[in-house]
Amino acid sequence: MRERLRSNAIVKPVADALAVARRRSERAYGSVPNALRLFLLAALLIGVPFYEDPFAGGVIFDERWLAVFRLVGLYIMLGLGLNVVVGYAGLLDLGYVAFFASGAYLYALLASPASPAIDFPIDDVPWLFWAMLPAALFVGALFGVLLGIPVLPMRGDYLAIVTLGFGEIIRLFLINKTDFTGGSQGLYGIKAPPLPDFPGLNITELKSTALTEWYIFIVIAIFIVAFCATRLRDSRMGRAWEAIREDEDVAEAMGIDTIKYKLMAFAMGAAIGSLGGTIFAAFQGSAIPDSFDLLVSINVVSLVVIGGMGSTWGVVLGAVILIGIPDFLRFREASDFLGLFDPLVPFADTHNWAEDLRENRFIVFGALLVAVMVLRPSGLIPSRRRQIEFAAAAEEA
Amino acid sequence: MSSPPRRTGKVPTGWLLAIAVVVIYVGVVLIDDDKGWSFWLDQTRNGLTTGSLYALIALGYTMVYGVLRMINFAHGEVFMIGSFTGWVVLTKVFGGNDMSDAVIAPAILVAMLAAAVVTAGSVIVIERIAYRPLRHAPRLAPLISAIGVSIFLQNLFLRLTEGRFRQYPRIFPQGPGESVDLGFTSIDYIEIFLIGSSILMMLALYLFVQRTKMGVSIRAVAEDQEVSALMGVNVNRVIALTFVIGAALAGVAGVMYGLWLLNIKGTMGFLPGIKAFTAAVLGGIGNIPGAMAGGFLIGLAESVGREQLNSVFNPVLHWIGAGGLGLGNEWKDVVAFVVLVGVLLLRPTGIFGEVVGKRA
Amino acid sequence: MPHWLNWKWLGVVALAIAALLVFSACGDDDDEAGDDGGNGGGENVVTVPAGGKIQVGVTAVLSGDLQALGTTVLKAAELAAQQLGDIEGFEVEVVGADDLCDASGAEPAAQQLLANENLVAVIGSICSGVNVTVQPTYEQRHITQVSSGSTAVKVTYPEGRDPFDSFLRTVVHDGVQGVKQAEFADSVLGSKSAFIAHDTDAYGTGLADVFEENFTGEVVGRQGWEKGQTDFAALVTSVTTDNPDLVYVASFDPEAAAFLTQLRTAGYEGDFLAGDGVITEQFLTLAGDDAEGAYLSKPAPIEETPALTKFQQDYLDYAGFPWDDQPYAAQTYDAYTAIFNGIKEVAKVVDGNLEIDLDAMNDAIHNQDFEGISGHISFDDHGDVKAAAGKPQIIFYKVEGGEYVQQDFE
Repeated sequence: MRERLRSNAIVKPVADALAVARRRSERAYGSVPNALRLFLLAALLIGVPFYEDPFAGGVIFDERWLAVFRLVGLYIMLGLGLNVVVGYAGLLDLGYVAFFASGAYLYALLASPASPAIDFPIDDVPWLFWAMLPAALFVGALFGVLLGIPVLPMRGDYLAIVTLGFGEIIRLFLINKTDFTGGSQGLYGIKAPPLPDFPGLNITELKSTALTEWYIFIVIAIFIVAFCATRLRDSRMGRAWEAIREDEDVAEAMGIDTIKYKLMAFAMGAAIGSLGGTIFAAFQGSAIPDSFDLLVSINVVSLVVIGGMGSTWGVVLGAVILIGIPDFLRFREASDFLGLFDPLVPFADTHNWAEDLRENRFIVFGALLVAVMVLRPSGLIPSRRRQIEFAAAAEEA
Repeated sequence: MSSPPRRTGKVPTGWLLAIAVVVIYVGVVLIDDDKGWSFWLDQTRNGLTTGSLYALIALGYTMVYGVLRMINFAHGEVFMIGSFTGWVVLTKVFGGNDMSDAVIAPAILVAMLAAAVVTAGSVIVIERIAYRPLRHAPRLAPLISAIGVSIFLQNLFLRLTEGRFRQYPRIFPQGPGESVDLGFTSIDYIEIFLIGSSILMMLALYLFVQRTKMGVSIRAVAEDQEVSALMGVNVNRVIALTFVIGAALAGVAGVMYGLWLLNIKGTMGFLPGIKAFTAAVLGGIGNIPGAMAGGFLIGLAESVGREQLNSVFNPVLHWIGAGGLGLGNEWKDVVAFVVLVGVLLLRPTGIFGEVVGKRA
Repeated sequence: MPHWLNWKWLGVVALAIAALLVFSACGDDDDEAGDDGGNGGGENVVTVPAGGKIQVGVTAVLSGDLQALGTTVLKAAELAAQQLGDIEGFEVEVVGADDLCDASGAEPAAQQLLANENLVAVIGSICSGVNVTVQPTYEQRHITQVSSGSTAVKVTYPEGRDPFDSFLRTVVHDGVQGVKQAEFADSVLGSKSAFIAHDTDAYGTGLADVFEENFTGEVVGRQGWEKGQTDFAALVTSVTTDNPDLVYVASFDPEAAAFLTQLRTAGYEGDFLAGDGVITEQFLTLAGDDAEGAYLSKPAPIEETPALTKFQQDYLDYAGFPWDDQPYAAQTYDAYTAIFNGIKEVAKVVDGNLEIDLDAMNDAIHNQDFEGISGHISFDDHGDVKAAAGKPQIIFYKVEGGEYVQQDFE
């Protein structure tokens, strides 16, 4: 089917042109030194809230955008975490939300005045949030190992279903164990974590409404997580994961301690998910069980797979497509932009189709998952190493 | 598929497990006389009735997984489509609640047939579009694609029904007195209908797979796709056939669900789907009678098992001064998921055998 | 990109942070301006230019499982805007945003509404989870929310702080209803024992908690179900085994109807009491004959006034489905009316533009006192709708002959 599509008279020249453009831009990009490249990228991203519109005045990306960017950023973090488990080690985890929830509740149970777990919310401790960040990493890793031990012998689909069950158990536990978790009423009223005094910065706390500050915080967090994740991948452990992913039995025969490395993958992924949860609870100011349903797990897995398993840029692209675009569709600008295509849409005069698209975005989401899998089963930006593997597999088949 | 449990010379563990379950069941009933016999009998009937639906859906999972080693995540949605098809037939064609008594039986039959045909048709389309191109793709691709189909169908039907419930006509006699008295307990007609027809369909399927030529080719493909292709089996057709059979059974289950519980919705397929998968695993993937038994067991675990946990642990907990376990109805999904996790951990081959846990 | 990160990177982040400091030192004061803006009235004025439209937001769940409820709110608000008309010749536009009924959808929806330059007020979400998440956001921007369906007590009685000035609601909260239901069960029904069944959502658990706390008889059992469940067989067996005088349900109509049907099918003959999520026309259709004799309560006397009859008809014409199928329609209309009146009282035409002082408008809304469709509307210190003098806030009904018949109970 893809071959037929590729040789299509219209598609082919476009695809060829794109391929040439990609090669050229990659060459140009490759000639810039690493450090400079990263500096530019970081400065570019952190500057986003401050870009000014030269024509209309004011900032280009107002708080509406930042609210979405913040959420996209959070999902990039979660995606990077799950990427360790799914992309690097090849273990399909459909219950990733469990770790996300554990991080969120870890913080919320301590910081929310509505918390039934402790009588004295320690929300007046200024460093609580900052202390909970490493704690979340640790607790997340612990949870990851605890889940990992029993599911070690499982592979593939079975692992997926068990982890899915585990995620649902956690959610139902949060809802039903009312006397401990506050139940479906949720934990709320979490105070904004104060910031240490930076000279020249007029910000004293990370309010949930301080979108700019949260946005920057998350961008920095993503850089740190991405840095750690890629270092891990290129380390000895990363190569062990790769071997396990390719063939567990062979890996074991080669003397790789598969148990240890699989557990490490679960622990690393869970730690990042849990960290994301704590950040989520802090910027929402609340933790409510409804936020931790299966759809979160599915979203994260989908963005990793659609982006391309094992690929850092794939995670970013996947998050932008799956989390960002449905939200951007709600913007006026999106309707204006889509309105440009009205002449091409036969029913544009009777239907507000941009609105239809937005209302039906879950349907579109489902169809998109299928389409991406059928047309590009290795994802939109496959990791280089995987690209080679797939090519080899295709030749075999 | 459905190869008999491996003979190891010892009593199969599966049967030991089954006996243990029965012993525990009777034991708890004897210990906890507060609730009385009728409570446990009623809960058992409830479990079997719900379980018969899980069982029918589980047959589809077990067939497809047995042949393709792929979890058809959208199978619960196929069940939902069947239920909606039956609803359309019963309300739009036969006039819903106004239908005269004489046409009720044929109407139900037509609704079931229509549901089977529509679900079979839609699953052929789904398989062609979303699964077949991915047969040689990396392992996760078909699973994600199936999740995509599931989300698509669920939200499509939510949109079509504006997120509301749709009501089946109340044509199947239900209510006080609409039951068969057995002396020590009574069974509602609808329960007999559900449990009986699911067992009949399972038997028919079992005989089909064991005795017919098509059945042999299904088993051959399940054993080894490439070799059976060499032996002249049309693999694509066999795979399509397993999808169609599974879907038709789920479609019929959808209509029975509607007749029994009356309210149907776009999201109705998700939980039964997961539980049916659990049932298929519990019975040993690929094992047809196993899937049936697994379905009944999950149904029983949710109703009887949950209450028995209360009965066993509450006295102990009260005695040491802790509050009760209090596993109310809201914990039933947790029980099902715990069974799922537990079975896969302790006995991934299912109660009645069939080694796939590692092969996957 | 396999090697795009390396140790030099740390230096990079340091540089980036330094750049950030430079950035923000120049231009961060605009962000803080609104924060302490309570002092100067002039600071929080929305000016609608001549020819522009005043905007009232609606945050509601418009997709997914609960879309039917959110759509009702949006339609009712649009209808109200159409009927109440202009303010000083300025048209009022209703802007909807989908909050997914979920904390993570809440903030994006809020920001989307807040990006409308002429936004002056918002019809708050029917989902308490959304409201507790975005209350600080709206409070900071001086935008008043009036919710028509969020009944959790905590929304106007937040723990650990004073209630939000910017949040009001035209719906009676669960506390009031749960207490009255318990009194009704004790004194009118004379129930000695009750079985509590509820959905595990915030609404169901909240209401069930209040009832359980106030019911003086024995609670023989309490169990829940997940929203959307239709198979209640196991639960019904638990109820019939305990055989209580009363089955109390805190949930919404489809589940309650299915539960009641299965309860009666199993031979339960005791009383049945449920709250405002259940009392709909759909409940009567769904439960049919089994609904006979069921007691239901709902807040605010929606009396058979001409206004109500007219609203029912108008709503049917406008939305295409009857309003009494859905809770919150009348309350949404009243929420819009409160906002509308508030704007009207403070809006001034200056140089052809319309100026609306948001804080004055908030005060004006707090001081509203009018007869709405759903009953008398005035607000207490917490922003909750007050009981009208001499009128009960919760009305009880019994289903007789397929209709809701009002019961005498103060």
